[in-house]
Amino acid sequence: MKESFEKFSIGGLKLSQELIQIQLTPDTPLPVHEVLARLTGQHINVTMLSFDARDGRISGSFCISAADKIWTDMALLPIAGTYDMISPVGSLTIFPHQSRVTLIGSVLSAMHRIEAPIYAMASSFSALTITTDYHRLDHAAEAILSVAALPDNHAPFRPEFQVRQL
Amino acid sequence: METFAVYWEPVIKTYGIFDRTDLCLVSFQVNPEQMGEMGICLSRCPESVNRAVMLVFARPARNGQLYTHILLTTASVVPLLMDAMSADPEMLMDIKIDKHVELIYFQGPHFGDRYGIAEAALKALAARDAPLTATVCTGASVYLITPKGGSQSARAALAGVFMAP
Repeated sequence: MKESFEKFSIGGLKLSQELIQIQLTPDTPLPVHEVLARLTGQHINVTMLSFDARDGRISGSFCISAADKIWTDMALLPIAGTYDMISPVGSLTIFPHQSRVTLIGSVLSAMHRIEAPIYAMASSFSALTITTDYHRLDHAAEAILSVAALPDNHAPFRPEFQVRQL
Repeated sequence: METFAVYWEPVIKTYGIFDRTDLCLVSFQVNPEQMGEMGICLSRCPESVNRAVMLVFARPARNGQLYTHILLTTASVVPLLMDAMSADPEMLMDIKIDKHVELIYFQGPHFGDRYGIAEAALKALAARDAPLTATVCTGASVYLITPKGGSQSARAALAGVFMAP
């Protein structure tokens, strides 16, 4: 009982479908918006994205659905070899995290305890998304639930359908 | 099961475009092997740091490190954050503190399921040479972090592409 009182209360934990994380580097010859434009041209959705400018060059990563890999390879053919790809990855989205850095810290620590890699993080004001090895997603969810408590009768969920915009 | 949808608009609708100024961006590199230790340190942050955290994001760097950013509402809690993280002085590398960044952010209908949203935002900024320090998008939200004074030019750049109610 004592442990449950020490857990963080969260509203939900969402597990993604299989994703691919693409890492642009300072060697990538196109500006980020042009790289994304090539994906837009193929109607490829970006599920999360994080970029920063260091020394005037923008680097960062984004995720796409693994189902879009063929079209992504085609779209990014002109810059092949200048980006890295991590596959397969999956994401865990915790909401709301209410900007509690203590919760984020506990989640990172819990994932590290089970040796689940952390490939990227991206938060909004209400949700925190972490990417890890897709094959360890359920294990990572269990680790998160060792430090965070869902409402009664709630469980981690995966989307039952995927919206694909034409 | 997949659901196919067609939803396109010449000017992308948002639920509103908002900005904040006088924010502080703390950036550092951390070895992925030390993420657990960093997590323990973060979990011990005092409540004042907790209240000041707006965004946390990280991406892999080419040297194998995880380049991590914490956006704070105020620079006044940076010493407390650094104190909390100082259990292992070698844990954080290449620390940068930018005390005067600004943020412009918005979300819109089904942004998370629609391609082209991030591209539209970054293309609009690039077309106006609006400076960008960092950007993070997850779910239906888009956050653009600019240097001091940059949020107004970013807002102007976004105006022709995104519509606020």
